[in-house]
Amino acid sequence: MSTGWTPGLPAPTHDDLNSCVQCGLCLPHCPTFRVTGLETSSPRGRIAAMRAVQNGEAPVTGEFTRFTDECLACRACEPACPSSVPYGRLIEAARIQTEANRPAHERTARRAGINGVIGHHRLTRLAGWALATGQLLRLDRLMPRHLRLASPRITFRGMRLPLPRSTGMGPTAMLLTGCVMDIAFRPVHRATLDAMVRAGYRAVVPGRSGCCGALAAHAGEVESARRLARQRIIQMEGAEVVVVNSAGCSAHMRTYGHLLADDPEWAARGQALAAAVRDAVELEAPPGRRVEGYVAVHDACHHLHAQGIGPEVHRTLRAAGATPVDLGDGGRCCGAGGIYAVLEPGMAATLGEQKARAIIATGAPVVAVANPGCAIQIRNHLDALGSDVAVRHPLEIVD
Amino acid sequence: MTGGAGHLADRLRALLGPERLLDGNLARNLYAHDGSIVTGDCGMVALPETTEEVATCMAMAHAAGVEVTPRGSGTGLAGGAVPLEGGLVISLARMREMGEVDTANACVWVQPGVLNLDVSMAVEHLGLHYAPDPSSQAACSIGGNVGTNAGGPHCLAYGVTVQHVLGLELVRPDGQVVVLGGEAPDPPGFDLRGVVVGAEGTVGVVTRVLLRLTPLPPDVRTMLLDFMTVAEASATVQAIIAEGIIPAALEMMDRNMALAVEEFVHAGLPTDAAALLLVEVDGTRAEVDTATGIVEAVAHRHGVRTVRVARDEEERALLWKARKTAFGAVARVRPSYYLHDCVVPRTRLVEIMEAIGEITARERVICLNVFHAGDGNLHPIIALDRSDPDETERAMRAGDQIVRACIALGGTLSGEHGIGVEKREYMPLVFDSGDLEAQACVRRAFDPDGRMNPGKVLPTGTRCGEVGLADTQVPEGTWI
Amino acid sequence: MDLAPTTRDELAAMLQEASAHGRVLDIRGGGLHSRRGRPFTPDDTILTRGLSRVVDYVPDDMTITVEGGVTIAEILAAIGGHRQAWPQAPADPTATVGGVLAAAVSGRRRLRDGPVRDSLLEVVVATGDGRIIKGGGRTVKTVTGYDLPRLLTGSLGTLGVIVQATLRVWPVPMAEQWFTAHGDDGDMLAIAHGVLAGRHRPAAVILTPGAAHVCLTGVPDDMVAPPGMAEGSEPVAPMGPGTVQMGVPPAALPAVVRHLSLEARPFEAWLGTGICHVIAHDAADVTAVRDLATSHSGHAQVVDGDDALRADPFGPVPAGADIMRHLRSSFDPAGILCPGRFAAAAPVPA
Repeated sequence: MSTGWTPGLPAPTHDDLNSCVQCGLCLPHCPTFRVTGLETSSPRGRIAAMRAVQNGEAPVTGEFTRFTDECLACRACEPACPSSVPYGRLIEAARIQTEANRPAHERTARRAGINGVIGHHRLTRLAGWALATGQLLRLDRLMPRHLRLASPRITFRGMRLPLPRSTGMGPTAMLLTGCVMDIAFRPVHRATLDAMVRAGYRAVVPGRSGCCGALAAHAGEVESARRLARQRIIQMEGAEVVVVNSAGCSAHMRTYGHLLADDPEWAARGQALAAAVRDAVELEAPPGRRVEGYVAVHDACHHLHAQGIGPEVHRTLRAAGATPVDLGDGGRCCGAGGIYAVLEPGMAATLGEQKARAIIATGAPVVAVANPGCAIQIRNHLDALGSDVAVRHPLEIVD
Repeated sequence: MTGGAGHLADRLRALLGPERLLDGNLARNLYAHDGSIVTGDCGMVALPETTEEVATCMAMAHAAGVEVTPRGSGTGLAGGAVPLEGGLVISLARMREMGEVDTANACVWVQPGVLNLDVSMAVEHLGLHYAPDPSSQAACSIGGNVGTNAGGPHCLAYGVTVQHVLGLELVRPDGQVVVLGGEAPDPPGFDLRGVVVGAEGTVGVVTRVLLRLTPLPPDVRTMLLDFMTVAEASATVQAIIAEGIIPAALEMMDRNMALAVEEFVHAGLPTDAAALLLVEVDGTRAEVDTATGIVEAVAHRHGVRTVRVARDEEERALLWKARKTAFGAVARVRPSYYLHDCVVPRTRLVEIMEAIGEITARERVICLNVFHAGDGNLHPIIALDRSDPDETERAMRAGDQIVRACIALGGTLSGEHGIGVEKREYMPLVFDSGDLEAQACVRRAFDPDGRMNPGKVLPTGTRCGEVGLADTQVPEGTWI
Repeated sequence: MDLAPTTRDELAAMLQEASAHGRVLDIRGGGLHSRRGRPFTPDDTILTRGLSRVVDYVPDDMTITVEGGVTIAEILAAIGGHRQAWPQAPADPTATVGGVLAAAVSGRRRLRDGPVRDSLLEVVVATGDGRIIKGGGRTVKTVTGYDLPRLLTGSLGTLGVIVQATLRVWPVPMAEQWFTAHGDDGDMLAIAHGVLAGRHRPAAVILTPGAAHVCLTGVPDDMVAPPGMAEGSEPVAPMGPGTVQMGVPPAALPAVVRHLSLEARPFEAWLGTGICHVIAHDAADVTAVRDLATSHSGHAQVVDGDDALRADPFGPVPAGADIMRHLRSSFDPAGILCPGRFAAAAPVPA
């Protein structure tokens, strides 16, 4: 049997595909299926499509690319699956295949953003300056709506907010400053460093930190992802723990072992770094201040589904005296999905608006969001609905 | 695709827009499957959102002479939603609006794409629930439930889908819309509503359903009993009912199944026991106390090892999660499975469990059992790898022998999954040709051209025959 | 002429004969539910009492298979010793199984136990042209094939003669008690409403003029009189020249009761189910009761009465009448079984 996968590249494996018995229990948990009702936008459908390619019944281009592009990779299907199908692994492998087969002009545009800008710290900062300038001069009104909805709010002051190189006493904990976080969410870094100290660590900010590679991996750019992973390993190995305050990044860094598994020189080092990763909310540091009242909680997919992190956020807030409120939407994805909002604007906007409405319905003045992509998407959709609910990382709320 | 069908695709696309009419090769491939192992052939997929759109789709298909297969969530296990000969699949997955709950009459109109569990969740705050609870209830749709007359663990005491559907709106094969039944009980004439429920989409497309909602029981208790032999567990099932107790649910799981599911759910199932019984009793506090006492006494008489009573709602939910995710967990053993859902009289449970054990041992296949023991509704799941032709062959053989053994013990083919494609050729085991011909006539009364979900339910070659081709002469002023 | 078959083969031969010669047949069991539908003049009447065998009864399976002419009293004699009952059926000892099913007559405990059609698992029927056909299955649960048992239930003899039925039976509850209260209908409604809304899970909540009756079933500890009620007895059915059965949405029944009470019509209303039996003396009564039902989104049919009362027994033609006609022509191609029974005063659409 000849398969439709491009040889020489990672692809969904026979065993992973075989672990799905098509029971359909994933369907109601998939945000894109909830919106479209289409088998083609469900996890079961996408796996069946991968099987069709695997069996040589369909090419990896055209419909297949469209079906897999639409996936948010939120992995809400994984905890719902009684067979524990590794869906996240499947979709990442499928994307490596679709990227390699995408027409050259599309590929260039997609790659420019991920590899060319976000993958390089200086360029990311430059892009941040550009965006901040644009927003200051209100030139962002000229951007297409979907790009505007996907853009973080950036100020020069925020970007210049100084971070200490080292603070506190105890075993060494290094903070991943990252890419988007570092230009748009420095206040979260400050709050995280404070939490690290309260948790009993010596909090260290490594020099010239950068992107963990998550965005590249989600978009199927596996070589970029590996390059960035090696950079982070060099920078951060040796720390007792590596603290990450972006759900997408902590989830991704925990897969470094798998990502570099075929590389004898790096596999063990990848695994070791992955083992040192702590999501910032997992520190469960004592609160820095007392907080009263309701706090809406948006669980990031990369927390809830990819890492099983959820109660930690509630506990952190409760410890400070706040009352966390669930959104009552079953932890549905907000539609941010890394660069998804740029690539699939229609679906992203539908999900973003649903999420914003669910937040407003809680009546809470602030929503806790522990992932930069989600925070950008939610802020922009709350603004679009004229809501002034504040969007904050949970550690910012208790700092 | 024939010219007529190609033309139909264009007309449907004009009606629904390109997003709601799929005819790409890969999309058609995906819609040629459901939760079963059946693979079919799908011509195109339409996703209407309103009754009017369904009616127009049906009228267009009627004009084009194209066959129609309705589809809900596609979780069926008998291939009922798999189109066999091309044609049009009408997916009701986008019709998922729920009307306002009529609390005074305890009912609600819903569109067919509404998911079973969503109904119960939407009415829980009113102290109500929708009683039929198939294991796939988180994913399966009300339309699909109506098609198969779905069951579930709690149907032992509460009854299957047809007992909870007060009325429905049916788009007939020619596009006419008719409402059958309603809030007022026992309308004059034949109970067509009762025939449409369970007709597996062969009589039209159901576009709205009036569901009866049941008050949540005042008290409920869930027990997990474990036994060192399947025979003791089976005997306990029979003895509980013989004592005059009809539990709300009475489920059995064998060791193979418990092992697979425990790995996913971590419910603390005793995986060294040969069989587990999940027993739920409900009612008033006094009824629950009495029933619990009797169940425990009966179980002890039949050699139960431990009786675990769920302490709180959380533990109860966990035990039920273990039961309801069992099918999916089979993939931990083998990538695919094949099963029948035969029913045997409850008094034959011990015999059939022995027979299943012998058959699967003889055919060297792995069998996992998890089923509605209280009403004798078996689910012997034969785990297999379809890429292994020898194992597949043995699995099919074992399934075949299990069906025949059930029928020999006075059982029937399907308790809740429906006949679909998978079991249609077994129909002559329980019905003679005259019985089947009469069923073909029932179907033809709704669908004279035979375009609705062809190839399902009845074995190949079953015809209504010459009988009643012309309408019977009825006296003036009469409608039947 | 009366035809009294004692086996299904004899019955089949009689039907073939009648079909061949176009002889119109009526079918009669215990005769309790024969005065239904528009009157017609049969050439012959099939008496089913000769089909009187209990075919199979496995107490632990809680199913019983009987021939169509077996009476309710005979069923109870067979199963009562095992403390089992057929709670969906009416408590008429002389009614036959075939008659109860063909007329779809449910018992008073319908609120808890459901309608009679839910208790029929398998049916064997002799069609108008004398074919013997089986549908459903003898297990307590089956979705094997089209639901002939439901189709036959309530078909009033127009699709075939019920030769044999497998019924699901239930354990007799550990305790059962009727409670009664007397007073004006407004107070009785309030009492009844309280029982329905409470935690009793009653088997029946019945109003008759000036009285409320509640049946509780379950365990002895729960047999506590609901507020305002005392231990009592089952109501006595209202008697009169004719009876109309109303079916309205359950929540409309209190309003219906108030109206009937104002007009001083004898009635028996089954609260929670939407069913109400009303005494009718003439065709004008039938019309008045039907208008009342219609104004509450319901319907009304004459379930007992002389010929004059049954000129328009059902009211408007129901939806799907053409499907019913197709069904009829497959099961009774010669149209000899109770022709004219399903009639409407209004013109019948093609």
